[in-house]
Amino acid sequence: MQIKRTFGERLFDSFNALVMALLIIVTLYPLWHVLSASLSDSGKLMAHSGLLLWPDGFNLESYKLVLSNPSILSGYRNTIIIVVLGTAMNLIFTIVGAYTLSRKNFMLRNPIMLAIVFTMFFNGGIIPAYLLINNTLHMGNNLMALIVPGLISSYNLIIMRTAFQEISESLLESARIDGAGEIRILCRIVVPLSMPVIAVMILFYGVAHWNSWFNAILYIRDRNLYPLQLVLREILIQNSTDSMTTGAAMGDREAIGESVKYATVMVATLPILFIYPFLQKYFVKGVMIGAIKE
Amino acid sequence: MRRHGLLGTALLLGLTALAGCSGGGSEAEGQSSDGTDPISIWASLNTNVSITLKSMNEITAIQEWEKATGIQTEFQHPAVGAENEQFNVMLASSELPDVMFVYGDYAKLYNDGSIIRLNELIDEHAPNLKKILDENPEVAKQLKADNGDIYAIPHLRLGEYKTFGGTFIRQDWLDELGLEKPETLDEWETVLKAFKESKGVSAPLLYGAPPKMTTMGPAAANFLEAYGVTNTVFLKDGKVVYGPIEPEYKQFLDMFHRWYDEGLIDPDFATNDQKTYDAKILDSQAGAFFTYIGGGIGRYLPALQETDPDADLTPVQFPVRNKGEEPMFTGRSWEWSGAGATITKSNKQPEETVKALDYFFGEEGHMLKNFGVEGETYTMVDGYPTYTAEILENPDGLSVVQAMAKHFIANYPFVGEDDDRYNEQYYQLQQQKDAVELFSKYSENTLEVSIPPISLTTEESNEYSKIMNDITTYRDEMFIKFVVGAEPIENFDKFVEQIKKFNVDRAVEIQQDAVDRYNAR
Amino acid sequence: MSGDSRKFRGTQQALGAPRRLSGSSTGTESANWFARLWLNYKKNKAIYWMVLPVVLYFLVFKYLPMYGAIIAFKDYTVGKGIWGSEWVGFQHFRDFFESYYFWRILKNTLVLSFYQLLFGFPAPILLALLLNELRHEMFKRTVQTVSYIPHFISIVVICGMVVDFSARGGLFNSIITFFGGTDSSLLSDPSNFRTLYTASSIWQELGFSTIIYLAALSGINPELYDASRVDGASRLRQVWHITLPGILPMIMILLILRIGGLMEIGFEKIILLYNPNVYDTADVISTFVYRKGISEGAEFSYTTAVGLFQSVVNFILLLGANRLSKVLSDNKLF
Repeated sequence: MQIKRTFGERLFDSFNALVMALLIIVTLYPLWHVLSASLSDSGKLMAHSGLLLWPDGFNLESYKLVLSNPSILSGYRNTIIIVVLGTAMNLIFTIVGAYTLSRKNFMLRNPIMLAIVFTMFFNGGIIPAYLLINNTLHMGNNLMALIVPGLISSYNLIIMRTAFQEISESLLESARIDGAGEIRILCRIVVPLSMPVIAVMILFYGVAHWNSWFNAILYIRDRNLYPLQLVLREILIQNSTDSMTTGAAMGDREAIGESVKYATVMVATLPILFIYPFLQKYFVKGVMIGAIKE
Repeated sequence: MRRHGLLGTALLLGLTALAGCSGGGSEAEGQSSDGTDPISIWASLNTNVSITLKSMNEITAIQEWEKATGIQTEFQHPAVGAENEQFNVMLASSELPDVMFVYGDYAKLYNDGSIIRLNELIDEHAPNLKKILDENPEVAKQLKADNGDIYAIPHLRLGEYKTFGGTFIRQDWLDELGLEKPETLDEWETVLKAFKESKGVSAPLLYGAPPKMTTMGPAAANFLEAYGVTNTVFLKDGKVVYGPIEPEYKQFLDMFHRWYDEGLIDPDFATNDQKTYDAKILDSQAGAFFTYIGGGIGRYLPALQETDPDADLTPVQFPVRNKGEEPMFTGRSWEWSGAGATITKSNKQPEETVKALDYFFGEEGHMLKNFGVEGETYTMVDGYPTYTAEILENPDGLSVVQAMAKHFIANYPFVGEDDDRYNEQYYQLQQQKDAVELFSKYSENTLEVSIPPISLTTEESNEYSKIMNDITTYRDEMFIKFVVGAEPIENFDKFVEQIKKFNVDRAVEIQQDAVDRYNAR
Repeated sequence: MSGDSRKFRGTQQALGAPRRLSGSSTGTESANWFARLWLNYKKNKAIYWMVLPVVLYFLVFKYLPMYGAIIAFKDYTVGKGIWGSEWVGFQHFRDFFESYYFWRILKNTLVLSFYQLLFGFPAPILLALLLNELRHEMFKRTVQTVSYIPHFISIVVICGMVVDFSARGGLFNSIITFFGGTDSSLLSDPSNFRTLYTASSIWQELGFSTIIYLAALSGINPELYDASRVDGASRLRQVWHITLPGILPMIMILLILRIGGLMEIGFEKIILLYNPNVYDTADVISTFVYRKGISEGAEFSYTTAVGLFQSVVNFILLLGANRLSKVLSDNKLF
């Protein structure tokens, strides 16, 4: 349908485009800064202040240092396993949970929701969790310890439930009348209709797994099982100029690579940045078309 | 259906991968040749070691140690930066190793039952250590708890060199302006003024080094301490007092405020972080500043000389008020560094363990720890252990520190005694060597003013930290306000009053009690 | 879509059990409740069995370890364990409330949170709406992808930039002097802190936060737009009458959750930006507790007690927000 835009609309569109362009510049800068810094000479970097638009003393030293760390490869491997396996499990449980809790004919849905929200505020802290996972369930030193405790994120569950609630009940009702069971309805109707939200969940859970390192500190002893972020964190701290992270001057340290900090960020971040473009295709309008019979 | 397939495949793949991925963590349970279990030792893995080695077990000195004493060890290392969490979690789960390197509250660990008392074991199985303690009662005092218990085999620094940081100044600027290194506060004022006027720099005196929690970074403290007080509790004529409420503190504020107004101090002192601090030094905006001898100068000087080959940073003695006075506060560390090896309740061979650790206090063990293996990493030249090329010019391109870390343990805490001759050779730059000597010159004075390594009970500790957190917050805020002039110095009395309202007297009392207990050890 | 669901509420009432428990404490009432529960179960067996693993997860991994919270009332030491440590009752809470700075840190925490809410909550919604209006698909995707990147850059790096730009002679000051202002150390002034903190948060989180709204926008039936255009509606009216109502449920739920987080201001970012000169507006509960921990070592009990206090307040706020939302917009969490 070709309806002509009004002058006001055209003005708005230009203004919008301008604002967006500005936004791109402003939000791109941090990454650009990090990239330039990672390729800069550490000494020059320490002396530099202000905007960093080009590498100052181009060199690849920092990358060499980070990527030659013996644990980097195993770090990547472990993290990829955790991301893939973890996200898959997260999705299954969260989708099932969100679906059941979105059904208005489920009498217990509000009490259960309240109970779940309660856990977002009150928890027992590190020690009981550790005792449970390590001593009781014997998941210590196993990658499962990094997946199972975080199996369902209450926040994500709530978001997905909100999305599922929007699905027209009549649609599901007619499926039930046709004899479909709940699981079928979930898989054949609800999930396909909710691809945007599910895509977001993949992003949220995937990123969370990718970035996580704290649980590994608690549960993993074997260096070969360290996820990527933990390895990078070690490299970072070992090369840090921040006395906040290095603590007292106990043990002198070698000339520090300031640009290592930035190389670490690049190595840690770049892969995950590429996920979003793939998920963007799910954010297509009109996903509901064709499913609604009225 | 496609959805399911994808998920299903991912699951399947993952589970298979996982099957092969269960931690085989503690597989290194070797059996030693004579059938006894290896002794597990929990310790932080130092950065420089981790560059070449995966575990301290691979350090040359450790391997020689095992040969000499006949024990087998197995080091367990926490993740860097996560030592605290893993330590606590390890204690909570009661899966304790045989030996733990600890830095901190030993009494707590003992009261919890995690570690054992070592006095008898030392008397019977650690003759070398016992001798040192008997000959140095002051050291023994530091090591013992208030009730006389000893909980750790210590890391000792009995040599001359106990100070690791101090103020450095741009020697090339002094030379250019024909000035001598300043000693008194008046001389400092002259020098800083000259820096400002002739060189036009923004930070003749740079400070505000992190950690930002207290803006009284060491440099400011140096100038305050010229007045004979410091910015926390200390000993004045043998009694504990709180520095900021002493009259000398006001005199210092007066001077510092004047310096600020005249532009002699870095105006950004309140907001500096490590990065801006570094930048000002390397950008030649800073005339004098505090830093550490090893990691500080070792970093700054080479970088500075890349852009300005004439630049020179030399150490300056801690300032005094009047000529002829000696600095009292030198940032000196105690003979016992606070680090040590504890024996846990899980240790089934405490006697053997203590005996083996004692090795480092004997002549052979001492050389091994600090210099490595004779012929390989050092040679005796006129009776002075001199590092070989393996260390000083490592064929594999390792830096000095890294080479040292590969072969022996001298630059981070470990059981045994440090040796000055290591320091003398480790510091490569002449400026560093000078600094070490200069800063340690008056370190004996610090003994009179520093609060010794006391122990507080849990209740005392809780109460003290509760009171002090309020006071420290207030102190730091007001310090900035006084210096920049937001608060007139005339209000100093109100400042003191407020601190008293915070119950500083009780805090001082707590410290005094602990000091009395210490002296009675 | 919400229009649709409203149409069908009546039908749902007829179909299933009432959505709310008619809670009552008399014997026959609760017997009635169980009877209704049993009926509901028989009618919806699949749902009950499906939700079981989910419930089990929360019971085992969240509720079981909850006993650890009692260390807030004890003097916890790791060696003695949770059960073996001594009781101290409300001592830690008293210590916290009695601090001279209690009101200040409470105020700062709430004010900073509120600023974040006031500016940081609508911003992603606005951006999502603007993105929605972009005509060029490639451009839209580019903006989306780029704007979400700062979320992934470590907070240490971002704060390093903020400190650098805020210094004398830094980028921000260059802009200020360009417009006729004076050069000053921006982070030294308490009145600047809130602005810098909030603005940098928006800078970092804006792009990432829009994603969920973009997903919600995808769920709106495009036929609604087509129909309204035929009726002559301008784009602005479309936004007001179709788009916003379409994503309203998501907005409300997220708002409720956000309000439930009002007492949380993490210490890491503040530590990286603050200094004693700005304690007046920057010192919050978490930074104050953090500094105390530095002087004392592992401070489990005190930290837990303070955390518990914050959680209780947060939870109450959440309940309030939920109720308000139910009344005002018919959206609720439970």
